Amino acid sequence: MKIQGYWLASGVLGVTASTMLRTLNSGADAVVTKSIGLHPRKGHHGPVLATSHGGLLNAVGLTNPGIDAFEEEMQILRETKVPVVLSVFGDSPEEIAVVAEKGANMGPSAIELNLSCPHAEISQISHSPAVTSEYVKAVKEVVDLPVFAKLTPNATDYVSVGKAAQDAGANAIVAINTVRAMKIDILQQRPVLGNISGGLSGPPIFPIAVRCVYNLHNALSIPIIGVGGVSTWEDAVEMHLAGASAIQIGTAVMEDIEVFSKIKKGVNTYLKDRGHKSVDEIVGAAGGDKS
Amino acid sequence: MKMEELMGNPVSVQVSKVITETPRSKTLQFALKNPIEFQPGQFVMVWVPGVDEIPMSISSWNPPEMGITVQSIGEATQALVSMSKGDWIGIRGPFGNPFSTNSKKALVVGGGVGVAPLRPLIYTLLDGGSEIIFVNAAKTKNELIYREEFERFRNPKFKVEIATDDGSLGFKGFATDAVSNLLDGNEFDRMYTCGPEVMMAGLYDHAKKGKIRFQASLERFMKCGCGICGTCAMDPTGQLVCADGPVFTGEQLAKLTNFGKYHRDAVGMKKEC
Repeated sequence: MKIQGYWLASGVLGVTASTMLRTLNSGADAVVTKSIGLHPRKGHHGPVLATSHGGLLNAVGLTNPGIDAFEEEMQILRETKVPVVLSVFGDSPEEIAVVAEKGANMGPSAIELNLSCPHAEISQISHSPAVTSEYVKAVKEVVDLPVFAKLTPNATDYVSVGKAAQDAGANAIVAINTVRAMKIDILQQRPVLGNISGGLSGPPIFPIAVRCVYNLHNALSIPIIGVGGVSTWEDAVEMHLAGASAIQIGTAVMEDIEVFSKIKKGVNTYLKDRGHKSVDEIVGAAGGDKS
Repeated sequence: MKMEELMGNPVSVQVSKVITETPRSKTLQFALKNPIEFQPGQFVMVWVPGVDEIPMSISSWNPPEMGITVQSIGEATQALVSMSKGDWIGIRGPFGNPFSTNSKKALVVGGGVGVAPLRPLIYTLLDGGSEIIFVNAAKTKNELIYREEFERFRNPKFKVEIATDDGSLGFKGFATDAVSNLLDGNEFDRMYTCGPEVMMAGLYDHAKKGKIRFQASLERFMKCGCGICGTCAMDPTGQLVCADGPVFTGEQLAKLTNFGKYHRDAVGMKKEC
Protein backbone atom coordinates (compact mmCIF):
# COMPACT_ATOMS: atom_id res chain seq x y z
CA MET A 1 0.00 0.00 0.00
CA LYS A 2 1.07 3.57 -0.59
CA ILE A 3 2.02 5.44 2.55
CA GLN A 4 0.14 8.65 1.92
CA GLY A 5 -3.05 10.45 2.87
CA TYR A 6 -5.07 10.69 6.06
CA TRP A 7 -5.96 7.55 7.95
CA LEU A 8 -8.14 6.63 10.90
CA ALA A 9 -5.77 5.94 13.81
CA SER A 10 -6.00 2.72 15.80
CA GLY A 11 -8.28 2.63 18.82
CA VAL A 12 -10.92 5.03 17.57
CA LEU A 13 -14.12 3.61 16.07
CA GLY A 14 -12.11 0.58 14.97
CA VAL A 15 -13.95 -2.26 16.70
CA THR A 16 -16.50 -3.01 13.99
CA ALA A 17 -16.44 -3.02 10.21
CA SER A 18 -19.53 -0.79 10.13
CA THR A 19 -17.87 2.14 11.93
CA MET A 20 -14.68 1.80 9.87
CA LEU A 21 -16.72 1.87 6.67
CA ARG A 22 -18.42 4.98 7.97
CA THR A 23 -15.08 6.76 8.40
CA LEU A 24 -14.03 5.63 4.93
CA ASN A 25 -17.22 7.18 3.56
CA SER A 26 -16.26 10.36 5.43
CA GLY A 27 -13.03 10.62 3.45
CA ALA A 28 -10.41 8.58 5.34
CA ASP A 29 -7.82 7.22 2.89
CA ALA A 30 -7.22 4.14 5.02
CA VAL A 31 -8.36 2.77 8.35
CA VAL A 32 -6.32 1.17 11.10
CA THR A 33 -8.29 -1.32 13.18
CA LYS A 34 -8.34 -1.41 16.93
CA SER A 35 -5.40 -3.45 18.21
CA ILE A 36 -6.26 -7.13 18.13
CA GLY A 37 -4.59 -9.80 20.25
CA LEU A 38 -4.61 -13.56 20.37
CA HIS A 39 -7.42 -13.94 22.89
CA PRO A 40 -10.61 -12.00 23.73
CA ARG A 41 -9.76 -9.26 26.22
CA LYS A 42 -12.09 -7.15 28.31
CA GLY A 43 -9.74 -4.28 29.06
CA HIS A 44 -9.81 -2.01 32.08
CA HIS A 45 -12.73 -1.03 34.28
CA GLY A 46 -14.25 2.38 33.70
CA PRO A 47 -13.89 5.22 33.64
CA VAL A 48 -11.78 4.55 30.57
CA LEU A 49 -11.81 8.22 29.58
CA ALA A 50 -10.95 11.49 31.28
CA THR A 51 -10.06 14.96 30.11
CA SER A 52 -7.41 17.42 31.20
CA HIS A 53 -6.04 20.62 29.64
CA GLY A 54 -7.86 20.11 26.38
CA GLY A 55 -6.58 16.59 25.93
CA LEU A 56 -8.18 13.18 26.18
CA LEU A 57 -6.87 10.53 28.53
CA ASN A 58 -7.81 6.96 27.87
CA ALA A 59 -7.17 3.64 29.55
CA VAL A 60 -9.35 1.33 27.51
CA GLY A 61 -6.89 -1.51 28.03
CA LEU A 62 -6.73 -3.18 24.60
CA THR A 63 -10.33 -4.40 24.65
CA ASN A 64 -10.79 -6.74 21.69
CA PRO A 65 -12.57 -9.96 20.69
CA GLY A 66 -9.40 -11.82 19.71
CA ILE A 67 -8.05 -12.36 16.19
CA ASP A 68 -10.26 -15.37 15.38
CA ALA A 69 -13.51 -13.56 16.18
CA PHE A 70 -12.31 -10.44 14.35
CA GLU A 71 -12.24 -12.31 11.03
CA GLU A 72 -15.95 -11.61 10.57
CA GLU A 73 -15.34 -7.84 10.60
CA MET A 74 -12.27 -8.17 8.35
CA GLN A 75 -14.33 -10.12 5.85
CA ILE A 76 -16.76 -7.21 5.49
CA LEU A 77 -13.84 -4.76 5.13
CA ARG A 78 -12.19 -6.91 2.46
CA GLU A 79 -15.03 -6.08 0.09
CA THR A 80 -14.01 -2.42 0.04
CA LYS A 81 -11.22 -1.16 -2.16
CA VAL A 82 -9.78 1.09 0.52
CA PRO A 83 -6.68 -0.05 2.42
CA VAL A 84 -7.26 -1.57 5.84
CA VAL A 85 -4.33 -1.76 8.23
CA LEU A 86 -4.69 -4.45 10.86
CA SER A 87 -3.25 -3.40 14.21
CA VAL A 88 -2.01 -6.30 16.34
CA PHE A 89 -0.37 -6.78 19.71
CA GLY A 90 1.11 -9.70 21.62
CA ASP A 91 2.75 -10.54 24.92
CA SER A 92 5.82 -12.05 23.24
CA PRO A 93 7.45 -12.07 19.78
CA GLU A 94 6.02 -15.58 19.29
CA GLU A 95 2.50 -14.49 20.19
CA ILE A 96 2.45 -11.35 18.03
CA ALA A 97 3.75 -13.47 15.13
CA VAL A 98 0.83 -15.88 15.53
CA VAL A 99 -1.68 -13.00 15.58
CA ALA A 100 -0.01 -11.31 12.59
CA GLU A 101 0.09 -14.53 10.58
CA LYS A 102 -3.58 -15.25 11.25
CA GLY A 103 -4.44 -11.63 10.48
CA ALA A 104 -2.43 -11.57 7.26
CA ASN A 105 -4.76 -14.25 5.90
CA MET A 106 -7.74 -11.96 6.46
CA GLY A 107 -6.76 -9.62 3.64
CA PRO A 108 -5.40 -6.42 5.22
CA SER A 109 -3.12 -4.14 3.17
CA ALA A 110 -0.58 -3.91 5.97
CA ILE A 111 0.05 -4.89 9.59
CA GLU A 112 0.66 -2.28 12.29
CA LEU A 113 2.44 -3.54 15.39
CA ASN A 114 1.24 -1.91 18.58
CA LEU A 115 4.48 -2.01 20.57
CA SER A 116 3.59 0.91 22.78
CA CYS A 117 0.12 1.05 24.40
CA PRO A 118 1.05 3.01 27.55
CA HIS A 119 -1.54 1.49 29.87
CA ALA A 120 -1.13 -2.23 29.24
CA GLU A 121 1.57 -4.85 29.80
CA ILE A 122 2.96 -4.33 26.30
CA SER A 123 3.91 -0.72 27.03
CA GLN A 124 7.58 -1.49 27.60
CA ILE A 125 8.35 -3.16 24.25
CA SER A 126 9.23 -0.03 22.33
CA HIS A 127 11.33 1.34 25.16
CA SER A 128 14.05 -1.13 24.14
CA PRO A 129 15.71 -1.28 20.72
CA ALA A 130 16.57 -4.98 21.25
CA VAL A 131 13.05 -6.05 22.25
CA THR A 132 11.49 -3.97 19.46
CA SER A 133 13.79 -5.67 16.99
CA GLU A 134 12.71 -9.13 18.20
CA TYR A 135 9.01 -8.31 17.75
CA VAL A 136 9.46 -6.83 14.27
CA LYS A 137 11.67 -9.71 13.11
CA ALA A 138 9.23 -12.31 14.41
CA VAL A 139 6.40 -10.77 12.37
CA LYS A 140 8.47 -10.11 9.24
CA GLU A 141 9.42 -13.79 9.18
CA VAL A 142 5.79 -14.91 8.88
CA VAL A 143 4.04 -12.25 6.77
CA ASP A 144 4.65 -10.86 3.29
CA LEU A 145 2.70 -7.67 3.92
CA PRO A 146 4.19 -4.28 4.80
CA VAL A 147 4.79 -4.08 8.55
CA PHE A 148 4.57 -0.79 10.45
CA ALA A 149 6.01 -0.39 13.96
CA LYS A 150 4.07 1.96 16.23
CA LEU A 151 6.37 3.56 18.78
CA THR A 152 6.00 5.35 22.06
CA PRO A 153 7.12 8.90 22.81
CA ASN A 154 7.57 7.77 26.42
CA ALA A 155 10.97 6.19 25.64
CA THR A 156 14.07 8.26 26.31
CA ASP A 157 15.80 7.25 23.09
CA TYR A 158 13.01 6.60 20.62
CA VAL A 159 15.31 7.26 17.67
CA SER A 160 17.39 4.18 18.52
CA VAL A 161 14.17 2.22 18.88
CA GLY A 162 13.10 3.45 15.44
CA LYS A 163 16.46 2.45 13.97
CA ALA A 164 16.15 -1.01 15.52
CA ALA A 165 12.69 -1.41 13.96
CA GLN A 166 14.07 -0.32 10.58
CA ASP A 167 17.01 -2.70 10.78
CA ALA A 168 14.64 -5.53 11.72
CA GLY A 169 12.72 -4.96 8.49
CA ALA A 170 9.88 -2.60 9.40
CA ASN A 171 8.49 -0.90 6.29
CA ALA A 172 7.44 2.26 8.14
CA ILE A 173 7.35 3.78 11.59
CA VAL A 174 4.13 5.03 13.17
CA ALA A 175 4.82 7.80 15.68
CA ILE A 176 3.52 8.46 18.23
CA ASN A 177 1.31 6.43 20.54
CA THR A 178 -0.36 8.26 23.44
CA VAL A 179 1.68 9.94 26.16
CA ARG A 180 1.47 8.36 29.60
CA ALA A 181 -0.59 10.64 31.83
CA MET A 182 -2.98 10.87 34.76
CA LYS A 183 -6.00 12.82 36.03
CA ILE A 184 -7.04 13.23 39.67
CA ASP A 185 -10.53 14.38 40.67
CA ILE A 186 -10.12 17.11 43.29
CA LEU A 187 -13.56 16.64 44.85
CA GLN A 188 -13.27 12.88 45.29
CA GLN A 189 -9.50 13.13 45.80
CA ARG A 190 -8.82 10.05 43.70
CA PRO A 191 -7.59 9.18 40.18
CA VAL A 192 -10.39 9.27 37.59
CA LEU A 193 -9.30 6.43 35.30
CA GLY A 194 -10.17 2.90 36.40
CA ASN A 195 -6.59 1.98 35.52
CA ILE A 196 -5.24 4.99 37.51
CA SER A 197 -3.02 6.15 34.61
CA GLY A 198 -3.61 6.18 30.88
CA GLY A 199 -2.54 7.68 27.60
CA LEU A 200 -2.98 11.33 26.65
CA SER A 201 -4.10 12.17 23.12
CA GLY A 202 -5.50 15.19 21.32
CA PRO A 203 -4.14 18.71 20.72
CA PRO A 204 -1.82 18.87 23.81
CA ILE A 205 0.41 16.08 22.46
CA PHE A 206 0.75 17.53 18.95
CA PRO A 207 4.07 19.34 19.57
CA ILE A 208 5.49 16.17 21.15
CA ALA A 209 4.50 14.22 18.04
CA VAL A 210 6.02 16.83 15.73
CA ARG A 211 9.36 16.57 17.50
CA CYS A 212 9.36 12.75 17.40
CA VAL A 213 8.41 12.64 13.72
CA TYR A 214 11.07 15.24 12.90
CA ASN A 215 13.83 13.34 14.69
CA LEU A 216 12.79 9.95 13.32
CA HIS A 217 12.54 11.27 9.77
CA ASN A 218 16.04 12.67 9.98
CA ALA A 219 17.53 9.48 11.38
CA LEU A 220 15.75 6.83 9.30
CA SER A 221 15.30 6.00 5.64
CA ILE A 222 11.86 4.30 5.88
CA PRO A 223 8.69 6.44 5.77
CA ILE A 224 7.21 7.92 8.93
CA ILE A 225 3.46 7.83 9.53
CA GLY A 226 2.71 10.78 11.80
CA VAL A 227 0.05 10.60 14.49
CA GLY A 228 -0.67 12.58 17.63
CA GLY A 229 -3.08 15.45 18.11
CA VAL A 230 -3.62 16.36 14.46
CA SER A 231 -7.00 18.07 14.21
CA THR A 232 -6.70 20.75 11.52
CA TRP A 233 -5.14 21.07 8.07
CA GLU A 234 -2.52 23.40 9.54
CA ASP A 235 -1.51 20.61 11.94
CA ALA A 236 -1.32 18.19 9.01
CA VAL A 237 0.93 20.51 7.00
CA GLU A 238 3.20 20.94 10.03
CA MET A 239 3.35 17.18 10.51
CA HIS A 240 4.25 16.68 6.82
CA LEU A 241 6.97 19.34 7.12
CA ALA A 242 8.36 17.45 10.13
CA GLY A 243 8.65 14.35 7.98
CA ALA A 244 5.35 12.45 7.94
CA SER A 245 4.46 10.81 4.62
CA ALA A 246 1.01 9.82 5.85
CA ILE A 247 -0.96 11.05 8.85
CA GLN A 248 -3.29 9.22 11.21
CA ILE A 249 -6.15 10.98 12.97
CA GLY A 250 -7.86 9.70 16.09
CA THR A 251 -9.13 11.97 18.83
CA ALA A 252 -10.26 14.71 16.41
CA VAL A 253 -12.86 12.28 15.04
CA MET A 254 -14.73 12.81 18.29
CA GLU A 255 -15.54 16.36 17.28
CA ASP A 256 -16.19 15.71 13.61
CA ILE A 257 -16.07 12.51 11.58
CA GLU A 258 -15.67 14.65 8.44
CA VAL A 259 -12.22 15.72 9.69
CA PHE A 260 -10.45 13.61 7.03
CA SER A 261 -11.95 15.34 4.03
CA LYS A 262 -11.62 18.77 5.68
CA ILE A 263 -7.91 18.25 6.33
CA LYS A 264 -7.32 16.89 2.83
CA LYS A 265 -9.03 19.89 1.30
CA GLY A 266 -7.05 22.34 3.44
CA VAL A 267 -3.72 20.67 2.68
CA ASN A 268 -4.48 20.64 -1.07
CA THR A 269 -5.30 24.33 -1.03
CA TYR A 270 -2.06 25.02 0.85
CA LEU A 271 -0.03 23.02 -1.67
CA LYS A 272 -1.68 24.79 -4.59
CA ASP A 273 -1.21 28.25 -3.07
CA ARG A 274 2.47 27.56 -2.40
CA GLY A 275 3.05 26.11 -5.86
CA HIS A 276 3.83 22.55 -4.75
CA LYS A 277 2.99 19.79 -7.20
CA SER A 278 2.39 17.16 -4.53
CA VAL A 279 2.61 16.56 -0.82
CA ASP A 280 5.92 14.74 -1.38
CA GLU A 281 7.57 18.12 -1.87
CA ILE A 282 6.85 19.16 1.70
CA VAL A 283 7.49 15.87 3.52
CA GLY A 284 10.44 16.61 5.79
CA ALA A 285 10.94 20.03 4.20
CA ALA A 286 11.35 21.71 7.58
CA GLY A 287 14.92 20.58 7.94
CA GLY A 288 17.49 17.89 7.51
CA ASP A 289 19.86 18.02 10.41
CA LYS A 290 20.52 14.75 12.22
CA SER A 291 20.00 15.97 15.77
CA MET B 1 -11.45 21.28 20.11
CA LYS B 2 -13.61 21.74 23.17
CA MET B 3 -12.63 18.52 24.87
CA GLU B 4 -14.46 19.18 28.17
CA GLU B 5 -17.70 19.76 26.30
CA LEU B 6 -17.24 16.76 23.99
CA MET B 7 -16.62 14.62 27.07
CA GLY B 8 -19.84 15.88 28.65
CA ASN B 9 -18.28 18.30 31.19
CA PRO B 10 -17.37 15.70 33.83
CA VAL B 11 -18.32 16.65 37.38
CA SER B 12 -18.32 14.89 40.74
CA VAL B 13 -21.50 15.17 42.81
CA GLN B 14 -22.83 13.81 46.07
CA VAL B 15 -26.02 11.77 46.14
CA SER B 16 -28.68 13.96 47.76
CA LYS B 17 -31.54 11.48 47.98
CA VAL B 18 -32.17 7.75 47.50
CA ILE B 19 -35.69 6.53 46.71
CA THR B 20 -36.53 2.82 46.81
CA GLU B 21 -38.59 1.97 43.73
CA THR B 22 -38.75 -1.85 43.89
CA PRO B 23 -36.83 -4.47 45.87
CA ARG B 24 -34.14 -4.38 43.15
CA SER B 25 -34.19 -0.77 42.00
CA LYS B 26 -33.62 2.69 43.40
CA THR B 27 -33.66 6.24 42.14
CA LEU B 28 -30.61 8.34 43.02
CA GLN B 29 -30.90 12.11 42.99
CA PHE B 30 -28.08 14.64 42.91
CA ALA B 31 -27.67 18.33 42.15
CA LEU B 32 -25.77 19.64 39.13
CA LYS B 33 -24.33 23.08 39.71
CA ASN B 34 -23.76 23.98 36.09
CA PRO B 35 -26.80 24.46 33.88
CA ILE B 36 -27.42 21.70 31.35
CA GLU B 37 -29.81 21.22 28.45
CA PHE B 38 -31.85 18.06 28.87
CA GLN B 39 -34.41 16.43 26.63
CA PRO B 40 -36.24 13.15 27.43
CA GLY B 41 -34.37 10.10 26.16
CA GLN B 42 -30.90 11.41 26.90
CA PHE B 43 -28.47 9.69 29.24
CA VAL B 44 -25.46 10.38 31.44
CA MET B 45 -22.27 8.41 32.04
CA VAL B 46 -22.09 7.60 35.73
CA TRP B 47 -18.72 7.01 37.38
CA VAL B 48 -19.09 4.63 40.28
CA PRO B 49 -15.83 5.21 42.17
CA GLY B 50 -13.60 2.16 42.37
CA VAL B 51 -15.98 0.09 40.26
CA ASP B 52 -16.75 1.26 36.72
CA GLU B 53 -18.43 3.89 34.60
CA ILE B 54 -21.79 3.04 33.03
CA PRO B 55 -24.49 4.78 30.94
CA MET B 56 -27.75 5.55 32.76
CA SER B 57 -30.96 7.07 31.42
CA ILE B 58 -31.99 10.32 33.05
CA SER B 59 -35.28 9.57 34.78
CA SER B 60 -35.95 13.04 36.20
CA TRP B 61 -34.68 16.57 35.76
CA ASN B 62 -35.96 19.23 38.12
CA PRO B 63 -33.09 21.72 37.98
CA PRO B 64 -30.70 21.48 39.65
CA GLU B 65 -31.78 17.99 40.75
CA MET B 66 -31.23 15.10 38.36
CA GLY B 67 -32.42 11.54 38.93
CA ILE B 68 -31.32 8.17 37.60
CA THR B 69 -33.22 4.96 38.25
CA VAL B 70 -30.96 1.97 38.75
CA GLN B 71 -31.80 -1.70 38.76
CA SER B 72 -29.21 -4.00 40.28
CA ILE B 73 -27.95 -6.12 37.37
CA GLY B 74 -24.15 -6.09 37.54
CA GLU B 75 -21.30 -4.88 39.70
CA ALA B 76 -21.69 -1.16 38.99
CA THR B 77 -25.49 -1.09 39.34
CA GLN B 78 -25.23 -3.12 42.55
CA ALA B 79 -22.80 -0.52 43.92
CA LEU B 80 -25.18 2.29 42.90
CA VAL B 81 -28.27 0.79 44.57
CA SER B 82 -26.19 0.33 47.73
CA MET B 83 -25.37 4.05 47.93
CA SER B 84 -26.59 6.48 50.55
CA LYS B 85 -27.00 10.22 50.77
CA GLY B 86 -23.61 11.94 50.67
CA ASP B 87 -21.81 9.29 48.59
CA TRP B 88 -19.81 10.58 45.63
CA ILE B 89 -20.41 9.72 42.00
CA GLY B 90 -19.15 11.25 38.77
CA ILE B 91 -21.54 12.49 36.09
CA ARG B 92 -20.88 13.50 32.48
CA GLY B 93 -23.45 14.34 29.87
CA PRO B 94 -26.25 14.50 28.97
CA PHE B 95 -25.49 12.58 25.78
CA GLY B 96 -27.49 11.26 22.87
CA ASN B 97 -30.44 12.10 20.71
CA PRO B 98 -33.75 12.55 22.52
CA PHE B 99 -37.28 11.40 21.73
CA SER B 100 -39.22 13.60 19.37
CA THR B 101 -42.16 14.87 21.40
CA ASN B 102 -44.37 15.79 18.49
CA SER B 103 -47.45 13.65 19.16
CA LYS B 104 -51.18 14.19 19.73
CA LYS B 105 -51.96 10.68 20.87
CA ALA B 106 -49.09 8.53 22.04
CA LEU B 107 -48.68 4.97 23.17
CA VAL B 108 -45.74 4.71 25.58
CA VAL B 109 -44.51 1.23 26.46
CA GLY B 110 -41.92 0.54 29.13
CA GLY B 111 -40.52 -2.87 30.02
CA GLY B 112 -38.90 -3.27 33.44
CA VAL B 113 -36.36 -0.56 34.24
CA GLY B 114 -36.83 0.64 30.63
CA VAL B 115 -39.52 2.95 31.99
CA ALA B 116 -36.74 5.22 33.35
CA PRO B 117 -36.23 7.44 30.25
CA LEU B 118 -39.99 7.28 29.53
CA ARG B 119 -40.92 9.06 32.75
CA PRO B 120 -39.64 12.50 31.70
CA LEU B 121 -41.01 11.81 28.21
CA ILE B 122 -44.52 11.26 29.62
CA TYR B 123 -44.47 14.52 31.59
CA THR B 124 -43.08 16.45 28.63
CA LEU B 125 -45.71 15.02 26.28
CA LEU B 126 -48.51 15.90 28.72
CA ASP B 127 -47.14 19.44 29.11
CA GLY B 128 -47.35 19.74 25.35
CA GLY B 129 -51.00 18.67 25.36
CA SER B 130 -50.61 15.08 24.14
CA GLU B 131 -52.97 12.31 25.10
CA ILE B 132 -51.13 9.21 26.39
CA ILE B 133 -51.74 5.58 27.14
CA PHE B 134 -48.79 4.24 29.10
CA VAL B 135 -48.16 0.51 29.32
CA ASN B 136 -46.01 -0.24 32.36
CA ALA B 137 -44.82 -3.82 31.94
CA ALA B 138 -42.63 -6.07 34.06
CA LYS B 139 -42.12 -9.74 34.83
CA THR B 140 -44.05 -9.47 38.06
CA LYS B 141 -45.90 -6.91 40.22
CA ASN B 142 -42.90 -6.29 42.51
CA GLU B 143 -40.74 -5.22 39.57
CA LEU B 144 -43.08 -2.51 38.28
CA ILE B 145 -41.18 0.76 38.55
CA TYR B 146 -43.03 4.05 39.30
CA ARG B 147 -46.26 2.04 39.81
CA GLU B 148 -47.47 4.16 42.72
CA GLU B 149 -46.36 7.43 41.17
CA PHE B 150 -48.45 6.85 38.08
CA GLU B 151 -51.36 5.36 40.07
CA ARG B 152 -51.55 8.56 42.10
CA PHE B 153 -50.99 10.79 39.09
CA ARG B 154 -54.30 12.22 37.85
CA ASN B 155 -54.58 13.76 34.43
CA PRO B 156 -57.60 13.38 32.12
CA LYS B 157 -55.28 12.87 29.16
CA PHE B 158 -53.25 10.12 30.80
CA LYS B 159 -54.12 6.47 31.27
CA VAL B 160 -51.87 3.74 32.62
CA GLU B 161 -52.19 0.04 31.82
CA ILE B 162 -50.26 -2.54 33.81
CA ALA B 163 -48.97 -5.75 32.26
CA THR B 164 -47.09 -8.50 34.09
CA ASP B 165 -45.73 -11.69 32.59
CA ASP B 166 -47.04 -13.73 35.52
CA GLY B 167 -50.36 -11.90 35.83
CA SER B 168 -49.67 -10.77 39.41
CA LEU B 169 -51.15 -7.39 38.44
CA GLY B 170 -53.02 -6.10 35.40
CA PHE B 171 -52.86 -7.82 32.03
CA LYS B 172 -51.32 -11.29 32.21
CA GLY B 173 -48.71 -11.76 29.52
CA PHE B 174 -46.07 -9.92 27.52
CA ALA B 175 -46.17 -6.19 26.80
CA THR B 176 -46.42 -6.95 23.08
CA ASP B 177 -49.70 -8.81 23.65
CA ALA B 178 -51.06 -6.06 25.89
CA VAL B 179 -50.23 -3.56 23.14
CA SER B 180 -51.83 -5.76 20.52
CA ASN B 181 -55.12 -5.52 22.49
CA LEU B 182 -54.78 -1.76 22.88
CA LEU B 183 -54.25 -1.26 19.16
CA ASP B 184 -57.75 -2.67 18.59
CA GLY B 185 -60.03 0.29 19.04
CA ASN B 186 -57.40 2.98 19.70
CA GLU B 187 -55.68 5.29 17.24
CA PHE B 188 -52.13 6.44 18.00
CA ASP B 189 -49.87 8.70 15.97
CA ARG B 190 -46.71 7.60 17.79
CA MET B 191 -45.41 4.66 19.77
CA TYR B 192 -42.49 5.19 22.17
CA THR B 193 -40.70 2.38 23.90
CA CYS B 194 -37.76 1.37 26.04
CA GLY B 195 -37.13 -2.05 27.55
CA PRO B 196 -35.85 -5.48 26.58
CA GLU B 197 -34.90 -5.40 22.90
CA VAL B 198 -36.93 -8.48 21.98
CA MET B 199 -40.01 -6.64 23.33
CA MET B 200 -39.12 -3.50 21.37
CA ALA B 201 -38.62 -5.52 18.18
CA GLY B 202 -42.09 -7.04 18.67
CA LEU B 203 -43.60 -3.60 19.22
CA TYR B 204 -41.86 -2.31 16.11
CA ASP B 205 -43.65 -4.98 14.08
CA HIS B 206 -46.99 -3.87 15.59
CA ALA B 207 -46.22 -0.23 14.82
CA LYS B 208 -45.22 -1.03 11.25
CA LYS B 209 -48.43 -2.96 10.67
CA GLY B 210 -50.53 -0.19 12.22
CA LYS B 211 -48.57 2.54 10.37
CA ILE B 212 -47.75 4.23 13.68
CA ARG B 213 -44.56 6.30 13.86
CA PHE B 214 -42.13 4.51 16.14
CA GLN B 215 -39.27 5.48 18.44
CA ALA B 216 -37.24 3.15 20.62
CA SER B 217 -34.42 3.79 23.05
CA LEU B 218 -31.70 1.17 22.56
CA GLU B 219 -29.03 -0.11 24.88
CA ARG B 220 -25.58 -1.37 23.90
CA PHE B 221 -22.38 -1.99 25.81
CA MET B 222 -20.81 1.45 26.05
CA LYS B 223 -17.40 2.64 27.21
CA CYS B 224 -16.99 6.28 26.20
CA GLY B 225 -20.55 7.60 25.77
CA CYS B 226 -19.36 10.29 23.40
CA GLY B 227 -18.74 8.73 20.00
CA ILE B 228 -15.10 7.74 20.02
CA CYS B 229 -14.60 4.15 21.15
CA GLY B 230 -17.08 2.54 18.75
CA THR B 231 -18.14 -0.19 21.19
CA CYS B 232 -21.86 0.58 20.79
CA ALA B 233 -21.92 0.49 16.97
CA MET B 234 -24.99 -0.75 15.10
CA ASP B 235 -24.63 -2.75 11.89
CA PRO B 236 -24.36 -2.17 8.99
CA THR B 237 -24.65 1.64 9.19
CA GLY B 238 -21.98 2.16 11.84
CA GLN B 239 -24.36 4.40 13.77
CA LEU B 240 -23.42 4.70 17.43
CA VAL B 241 -26.02 4.18 20.13
CA CYS B 242 -24.29 6.83 22.28
CA ALA B 243 -24.03 9.60 19.68
CA ASP B 244 -26.61 8.78 16.99
CA GLY B 245 -29.04 7.12 19.44
CA PRO B 246 -30.00 5.97 21.97
CA VAL B 247 -33.37 6.89 20.44
CA PHE B 248 -33.86 5.52 16.94
CA THR B 249 -36.91 5.97 14.71
CA GLY B 250 -38.71 3.14 12.95
CA GLU B 251 -37.18 4.27 9.64
CA GLN B 252 -33.69 4.05 11.13
CA LEU B 253 -34.36 0.71 12.82
CA ALA B 254 -35.52 -0.79 9.51
CA LYS B 255 -31.94 -0.41 8.22
CA LEU B 256 -30.26 -1.98 11.26
CA THR B 257 -29.55 -5.68 10.94
CA ASN B 258 -28.76 -6.17 14.63
CA PHE B 259 -31.90 -4.56 16.13
CA GLY B 260 -33.66 -7.29 18.12
CA LYS B 261 -31.07 -9.82 16.93
CA TYR B 262 -27.66 -9.36 18.51
CA HIS B 263 -25.46 -7.02 20.54
CA ARG B 264 -21.75 -7.02 21.28
CA ASP B 265 -20.41 -7.89 24.72
CA ALA B 266 -17.57 -6.29 26.70
CA VAL B 267 -14.87 -7.71 24.39
CA GLY B 268 -16.82 -7.01 21.19
CA MET B 269 -18.17 -10.50 20.50
CA LYS B 270 -21.65 -10.88 19.10
CA LYS B 271 -24.32 -12.19 21.47
CA GLU B 272 -27.99 -12.87 20.82
CA CYS B 273 -30.45 -10.35 22.21
